[in-house]
Amino acid sequence: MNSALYESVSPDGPAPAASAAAANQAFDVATRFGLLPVAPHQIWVAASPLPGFETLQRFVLIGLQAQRPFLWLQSVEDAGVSFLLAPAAHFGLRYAPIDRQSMPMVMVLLPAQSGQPLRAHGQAPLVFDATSARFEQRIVEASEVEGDGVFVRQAEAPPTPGLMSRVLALQ
Amino acid sequence: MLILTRRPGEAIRIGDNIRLVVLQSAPGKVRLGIEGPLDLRVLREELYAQISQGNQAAVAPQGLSLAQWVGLNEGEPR
Repeated sequence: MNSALYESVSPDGPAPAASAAAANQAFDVATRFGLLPVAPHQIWVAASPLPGFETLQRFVLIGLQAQRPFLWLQSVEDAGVSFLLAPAAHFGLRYAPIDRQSMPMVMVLLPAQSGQPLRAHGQAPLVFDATSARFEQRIVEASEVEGDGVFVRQAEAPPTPGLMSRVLALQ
Repeated sequence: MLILTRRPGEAIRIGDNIRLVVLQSAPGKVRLGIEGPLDLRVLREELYAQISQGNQAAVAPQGLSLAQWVGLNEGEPR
């Protein structure tokens, strides 16, 4: 495992030294990449439970430079549960009821065999709020989604403001 | 399960801020109106089940090499 980490910047700004040290105390989380130190500000809370995973509430976003634009949404409570995410735009998906500024992400459905196209779980985009460190899985009717949901790499779009400051970055 | 009998136009309150109104009933079908907070998630159960299945299908298998699928130059760390 390559565990070299980039230091993330807390979006909360400076704080008194003692409380900042306590607040930023990293703790180990079992992930698909092994045991990783996670800072408290890198924990994302599901605003409402993910269908099918109602007992899981806390997650970490993990990013690898070589895998952009993909991110991993790793459960803190269950190391065996992680989802590959990508911006919905890379699947040509547009959601009328979702604010364009929120840059929805989608879970990636991996095909049974390599060579087949990656598809998105298009009716359940994820919207991240970096200010509150909460995310929500919006569930939409098929009629509210435009696009075929097949992966086509797009030019890199700027990420949701503040999102990357709460991503655990691996080399 | 709590079972209540209601007629069209009658309602049920759930908690402090959810109101369920029977708008219309017909053989084999009932039309409901739901009033509640904007952030209240209300879904048809079959849609919830469909999303649940999709979420479970989206769990990434352990040991997955992403490069295999998307032609990245480097795989994920092991």
